[in-house]
Amino acid sequence: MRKKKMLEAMSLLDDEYVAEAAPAKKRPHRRAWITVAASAACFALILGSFGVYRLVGRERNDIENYRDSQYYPLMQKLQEFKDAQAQDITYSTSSLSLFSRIFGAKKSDNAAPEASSPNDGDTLAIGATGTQSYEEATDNQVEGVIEGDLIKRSDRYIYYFQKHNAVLHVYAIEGEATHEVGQFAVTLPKEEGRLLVHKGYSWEMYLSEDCRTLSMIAPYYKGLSDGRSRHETAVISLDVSDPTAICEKNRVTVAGEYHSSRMVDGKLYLLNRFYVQSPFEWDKEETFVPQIDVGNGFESLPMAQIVMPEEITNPAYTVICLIDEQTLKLESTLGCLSYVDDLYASRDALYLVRARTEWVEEGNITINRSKSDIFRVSYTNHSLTPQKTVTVDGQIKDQYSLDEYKGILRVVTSTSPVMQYEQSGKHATVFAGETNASLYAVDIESMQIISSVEHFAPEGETVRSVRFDGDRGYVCTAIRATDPVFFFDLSDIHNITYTDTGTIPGFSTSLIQYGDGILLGVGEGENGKNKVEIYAEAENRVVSLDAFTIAGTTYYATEYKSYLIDREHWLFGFVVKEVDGPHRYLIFSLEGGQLELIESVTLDDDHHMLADFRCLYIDGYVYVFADAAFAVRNIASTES
Amino acid sequence: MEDQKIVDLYWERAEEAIKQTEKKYGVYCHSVAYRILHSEEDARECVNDTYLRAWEAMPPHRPNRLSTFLGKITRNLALNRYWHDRAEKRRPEMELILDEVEAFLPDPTAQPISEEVALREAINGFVGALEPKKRKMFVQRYFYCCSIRTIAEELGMRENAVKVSLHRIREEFRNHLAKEGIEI
Repeated sequence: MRKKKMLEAMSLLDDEYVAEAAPAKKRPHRRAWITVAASAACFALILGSFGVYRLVGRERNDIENYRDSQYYPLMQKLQEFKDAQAQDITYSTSSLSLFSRIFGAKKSDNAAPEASSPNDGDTLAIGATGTQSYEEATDNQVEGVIEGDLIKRSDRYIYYFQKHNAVLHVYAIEGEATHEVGQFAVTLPKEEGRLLVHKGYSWEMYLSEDCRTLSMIAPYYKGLSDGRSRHETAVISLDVSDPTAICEKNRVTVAGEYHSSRMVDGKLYLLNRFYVQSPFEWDKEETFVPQIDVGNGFESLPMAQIVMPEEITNPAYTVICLIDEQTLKLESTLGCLSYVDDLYASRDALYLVRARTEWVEEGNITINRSKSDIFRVSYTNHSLTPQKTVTVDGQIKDQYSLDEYKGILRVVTSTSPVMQYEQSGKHATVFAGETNASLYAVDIESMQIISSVEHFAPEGETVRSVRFDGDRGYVCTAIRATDPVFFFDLSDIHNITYTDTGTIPGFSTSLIQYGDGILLGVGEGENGKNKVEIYAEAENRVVSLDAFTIAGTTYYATEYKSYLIDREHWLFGFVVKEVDGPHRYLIFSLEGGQLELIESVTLDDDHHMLADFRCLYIDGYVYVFADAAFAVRNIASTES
Repeated sequence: MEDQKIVDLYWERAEEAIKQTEKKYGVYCHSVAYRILHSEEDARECVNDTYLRAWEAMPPHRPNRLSTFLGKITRNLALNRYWHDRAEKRRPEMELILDEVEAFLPDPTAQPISEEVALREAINGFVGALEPKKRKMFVQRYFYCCSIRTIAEELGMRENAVKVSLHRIREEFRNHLAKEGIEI
């Protein structure tokens, strides 16, 4: 029918017009309202509803052929996961067809991945080298646990990595005369893959204590000989003892997508995500076992170095690699199946988090609750040792929601309403509660909850930002555009008390402690305008001292490392961008508990990504770096 | 998660790709399907089938815009479902949209049959020349199958004003297709 064909032909519209006209998002029908965590679980139910018992039977037979394999327990766990997805809920035959088609899907011939070929390494003006002393450029969450960053420095040089073209730039610190003295382009042969330099992929680096070695973490994507592709990560060691003549010393590669890293006492802890490929192919270990390269090509991680929970919720691993900073020798590896969400690193341990949904049958209804499992891996004496796991209600927002202090792990979560599902599993309704926030105190030896404050926020609110500082904790919760900021007194862990600011306009996506009871919040104020706000503890409550709202319609960087945080000089900086306007890096003074804008640095270039901005304060000057430009400003006179 | 990362996961054949797709675009795809089918169960099946189609399409595809790539898949699936079920249950809103579409079809006796390429150029040439508000109106009505009420709320207009505008746009589109020699 002609009109039918014409309506179908509207799919020929350009993507640009379709995207432009997308109607405002609305939640689906009330009865199917679910949180993100529950929706993922719902997806698992939907996907698992296709009872393809014939397919299951075929895979189970395949496993029987590998009983003698060291990975047989792993295969069993993965198969149990798949079987659990295929249980209970019945759907239409078209859905059955969907399941079998997904796991029977043949791999297509992949186009060869595009390899980026940045300029070859190039050197510029000659500068003297001499000795340098290390200066910390990153506001690390935990003292002594160094976090990777796009920027590092010594007393003489600033090292900034320009992500969009994968080039490291080195600048001599000379105030207004600051200039580039060297650069190095990270390259990858085309047959090795393509560097992942676009938005969403992290590149990080570390400068050694003696300032002679720079370790670059480079994510890339590789096409394999059998037509598949996968993420890999290279750790590249650069000799920067002479910044004018940087050269590569060696590199090590690890299979998997780069997740995070930490440097502790000259040891690099690299954490990658390795995804099990679907459908399972038990005869190809490289598709379901993490791969490591110790110099002889990739090999499967031994089963003894894989830890699995009782029940898998995600067929993916976080692979922890312990690498010596100088030699790049891979000293230890641990593959943690299913723990692929957040990460927190204390001075002694890594805490891996997985978010999941707990399903409980109660009569003819199914109840689900969002949970987070926190798995502790000790790295004392640089030995990766699996410890125990604790389960808390709700979901963890980011690394700042966890903090280890005097043998206690403090955790803040956003808790979800409890959902109930009808027997068919198709429709969900709220069973009990609203979204809220909770704080838990966990003994790290036993990994048992010893104390908690549950549902402390107004109903319907979720956690927007958290900061711990010794025996204090600060939490901002919000619903839409209002927030209270909670101050927790954690000095007596068995008797936790808290106060709050009351509901004030706006909310903070980052909370930064400046010491002396001063807290800075970065986020949104009234009418969605960006703001920064100073809070202070006063008479067992938290009060707002001052706030600065950014004029105009702007958006701001939420990447914590893009902020200038200088506690010694009471300075704060962050980047905002006006719609159809330039990027501006704003520098504030926090002296005397008052916010004063003292400098605005404009950098305008198409390559700028808000998250890639960095700023340092050195001897009266601020040095602002963006992905394609940098600027220096003298603020000493402004400050005084 | 950024679109590029989600696409990379499809290429890596990692189930995480579907999970992230559902997380980021599940609501969007559901709304595309629901507007056409107006049935929760049918819309959800279309969304599931969208994930399957995406899984099969990538690789070798690398869509520039993942949202519209998925949205078009969902739309086509939903329309096919609607045609299939139309004999048993017709949605008044969809039937109204079909009647409106018929209004901008050119005279069937006039010109030769067109190829898809020519049709694509004709449609996008017309839509691209519309002022933004009218373009949004047209796309929301005939791509997203939004109701007049929804469009009026989105654009801050009265329903009658939307109806009048759409009527004029349909006439202009009909003339445009005729001039381009388009035959459906």
